[in-house]
Amino acid sequence: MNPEIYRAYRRLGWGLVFELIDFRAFYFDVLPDFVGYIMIASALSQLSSLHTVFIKAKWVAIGMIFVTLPHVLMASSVTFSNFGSLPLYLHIYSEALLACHVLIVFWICQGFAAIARAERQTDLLMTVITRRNLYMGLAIAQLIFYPFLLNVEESWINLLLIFGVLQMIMEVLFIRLPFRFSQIKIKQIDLRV
Amino acid sequence: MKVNWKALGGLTIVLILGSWIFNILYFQQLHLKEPLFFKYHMIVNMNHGKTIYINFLENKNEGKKVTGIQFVDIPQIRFQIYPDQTYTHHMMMKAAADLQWNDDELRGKLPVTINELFVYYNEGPPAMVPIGEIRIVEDKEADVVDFIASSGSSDGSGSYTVRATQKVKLEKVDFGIKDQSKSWLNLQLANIPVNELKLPMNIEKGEAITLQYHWSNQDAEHAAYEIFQSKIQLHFRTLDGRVVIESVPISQYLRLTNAQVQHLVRTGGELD
Repeated sequence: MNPEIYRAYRRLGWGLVFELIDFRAFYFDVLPDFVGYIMIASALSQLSSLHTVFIKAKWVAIGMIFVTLPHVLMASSVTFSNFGSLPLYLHIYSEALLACHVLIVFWICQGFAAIARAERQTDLLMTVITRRNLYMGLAIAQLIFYPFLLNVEESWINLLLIFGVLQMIMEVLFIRLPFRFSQIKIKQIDLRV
Repeated sequence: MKVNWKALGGLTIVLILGSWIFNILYFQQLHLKEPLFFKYHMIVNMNHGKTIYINFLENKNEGKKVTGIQFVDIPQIRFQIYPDQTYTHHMMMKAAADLQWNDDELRGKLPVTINELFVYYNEGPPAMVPIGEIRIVEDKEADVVDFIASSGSSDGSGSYTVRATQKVKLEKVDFGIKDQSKSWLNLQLANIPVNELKLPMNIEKGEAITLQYHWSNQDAEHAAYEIFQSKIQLHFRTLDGRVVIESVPISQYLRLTNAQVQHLVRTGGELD
């Protein structure tokens, strides 16, 4: 495999790890999201030589670099313990970030599926499709049902905990994909459409 | 099977946006522009070192919050504010102040009637807010009856029992609250509705009399949001001709359901 492409897959994987982990020291995000999106955008820029769908994902990732900047100093993560006390704009902000992230994941999965199909990597293709469908199903369910939590009894907010755990599992499974793609022997073919 | 991603994506966007628009509009409809103070009809007797409670409703998350309240005429009464009950969109807050019965400066101002509160907010200037009527009085201890027992329940019912220390005549039962509220108050003395009592009524020494009350205003449209912590005044005449007035507290608990709070907010918090 082209070493550039190999590095791009790895960078994409590590960029996604930055997004997954929200580790704060004195309110300061030690692994800031915007750095993760710089890595993702840079990786997608190189992967766009394999498939044009990565270009769409790259532009959303570039947008995310800017919109996640306030997240460095602002603990905007919604948890089930602080849900009721957060102002409305923070709920909208956190879910808009999730929606954009889900869009990036969708397009990355589409690109991965096209590459796996072209490479006749059937097992990998099935893995990509299964994980994409599960990830999208869960994320879309959360985006639809989340605003209802603003208007129902507090006990329903425990649903966020279940969504959070499932989302974490799906994110880890998705992050595994670029690392797996970096290991396959891809023929030097141009998949640009 | 070929998936139509555009149609699926369009449907997803419609569902997500529809859900957000509907819920935000509903959420905004239940958003209080200002904290909402309840109307009081309260008589507080300073004799017993009493605590005054003022309830108000504010948004659970963002919005204007009360940081302090004050009686303009008696600023030495200091209130502490704390959350009392949580609803889906709102918090019932309670401000409590202990009246020090040995506070001479305060006793010198009695009786005092308070109709407005001076309220401080976390944003914007402080403002005068109507509060109904709170009367702080200093009733003389009645020496013709002894207190035996009292009870109160969240369903609006309660009782108060006293025992006569001497032979007396009960000449008059005075509601001491506004006329309108009588229709929500079922009051019985010795198991007889008060308006059917044959007065004057002789009460022997050692005889116990029980005043039973039941507030039914929780179902009334606006009255449910008014708070009655009033007193019934029993006018006794002793054998030597003295008139002694015993004040019996008939407190009503404010326990609103989530639906009542939402109805109140949707109707713009109009209490009158």
